[in-house]
Amino acid sequence: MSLLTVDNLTVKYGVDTKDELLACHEIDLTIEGGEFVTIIGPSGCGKSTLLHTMGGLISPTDGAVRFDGVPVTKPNPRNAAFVFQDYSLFPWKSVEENAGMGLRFAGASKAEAMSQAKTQLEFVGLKDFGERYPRALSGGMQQRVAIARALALEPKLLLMDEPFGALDEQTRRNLGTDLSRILGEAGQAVVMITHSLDEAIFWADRIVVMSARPGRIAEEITVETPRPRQLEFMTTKRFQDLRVHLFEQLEVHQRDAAERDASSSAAVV
Amino acid sequence: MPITLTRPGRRVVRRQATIWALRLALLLAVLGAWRYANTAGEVSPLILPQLSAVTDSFTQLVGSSHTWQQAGITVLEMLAAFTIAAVGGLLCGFLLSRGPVIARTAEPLLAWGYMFPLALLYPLFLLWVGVGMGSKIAYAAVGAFFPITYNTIRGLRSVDAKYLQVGRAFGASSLQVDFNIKFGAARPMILAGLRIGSSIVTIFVVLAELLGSQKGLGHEIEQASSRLMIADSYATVLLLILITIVLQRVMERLLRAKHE
Ligand SMILES: Nc1ncnc2c1ncn2[C@@H]1O[C@H](COP(=O)(O)OP(=O)(O)OP(=O)(O)O)[C@@H](O)[C@H]1O
Ligand SMILES: [Mg+2]
Repeated sequence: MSLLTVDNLTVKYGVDTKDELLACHEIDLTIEGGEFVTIIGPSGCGKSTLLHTMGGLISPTDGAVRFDGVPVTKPNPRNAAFVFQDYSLFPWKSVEENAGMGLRFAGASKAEAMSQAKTQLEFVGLKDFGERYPRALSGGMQQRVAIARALALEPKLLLMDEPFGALDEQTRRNLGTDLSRILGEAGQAVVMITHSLDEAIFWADRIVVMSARPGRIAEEITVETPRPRQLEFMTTKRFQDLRVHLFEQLEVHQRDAAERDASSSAAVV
Repeated sequence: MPITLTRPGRRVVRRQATIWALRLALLLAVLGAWRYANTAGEVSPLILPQLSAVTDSFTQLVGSSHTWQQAGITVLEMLAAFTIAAVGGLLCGFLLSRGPVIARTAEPLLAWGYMFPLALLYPLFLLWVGVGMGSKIAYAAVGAFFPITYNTIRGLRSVDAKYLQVGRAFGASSLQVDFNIKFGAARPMILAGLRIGSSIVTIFVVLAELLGSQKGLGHEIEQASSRLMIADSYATVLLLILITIVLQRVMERLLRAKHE
């Protein structure tokens, strides 16, 4: 059985108000155990909405999300843990408390949460920053704390919303490699939203391309090359072909969105 | 690295020195003006006593156990009023913040209570609680209760949705949401409320003592001026100012968030 299935999912915001907005439209998607799936698509196309619905933070307007065959009605962090796009660390808690907070919320004892927090902070390279407060950290460091907070739960599925957005190339690649390795060893699956073409291809077993709003799945691309991959993978023809293909796809969807926005604003005028 | 570290440090030190120099200059100017006003024929000693008379009177006051007894009463009233207002305000703020309708109803009432010139009601406090310490404590506690409650409600209700989302995503219990998220996020605002409350308490206690009491520094001031012992009255005011400054400093220290 698949780990997670998204079945004919439609999500609307502000249903029955004048601001009703169709964010995701009739999406079908499955995630297998241990799989690394990347989602790429134009800004505002509904990627975060899809991810939040997969983890039970948003209820489907139509369709269903199932985890291990069971309908998801609310978040269960041991099944699926989030890394949010805006990190959402608590500024009033130290870095270590933040990293352990997810586990605390999930019901773990303080001692267990703190020891896991230490372990995960070390993993993301922030061992010496546990006592600091988030505001003393750079954006990239805060993102890593958010990753540590999610990893601490050892979830079966990690739902990450642009987790490397504020990191430099080098850190991003190192952390990605380590992450992909330990998740692979533990058989944990990942869904990761990204805006980087290279990232979308390099880590993925499967790439999900979304069209401009209302978000639909335009294309799913399987990347056969086995993981973990060496950096040389990025110089292969397969990688380059995929990159060109993705680039063109995103261009098309971006243009669609621009044209639609132009025509709708023209209609208003 | 050490260069970039010491430079701002030195600048800060220099700025601090400038600030203190300016303060000293201001103090000297005030004292100078005082001395000048004291010279014959400028200002009546009934309005402005001799500076030396005030300092003499001050040293005498500080040396007297009676003064410190009165000061103790005033400080005790302040602390008691603040404790009552803080506990009551935090509790009410927390409870009222739980119901959206109740909170929306309570907020403007509390804001209004904060604006209202409560001094008008002091005679009623005297009637209800009597002229003893109780009326001072009750009056100051009521005054400080409003801003503390108001800020607590506002703080707890304006928590950024993204923090609450983290709680939901990781399955936080409602107790955890309250104490780990809401109170954490609202802390700066609550602490601001407590700081406002603490200064209101000092003002209200002294005011209440001036308006009607048998003890406390406010009472001493009132006594001295009604007997035209102007120098004593000035000296007591000075002592009161020093005491409130110390109290305010301690409060500020206690009520500062760690991460601020
Ligand atoms: N809480 C909300 N209420 C109303 N509309 C929303 C809400 N959240 C998102 N939207 C709208 O839904 C659409 C999809 O938003 P979403 O955040 O899922 O996009 P995204 O693909 O993650 O974009 P980005 O790449 O910029 O993060 C957008 O038009 C957005 O304005
Ligand atoms: Mg997003």
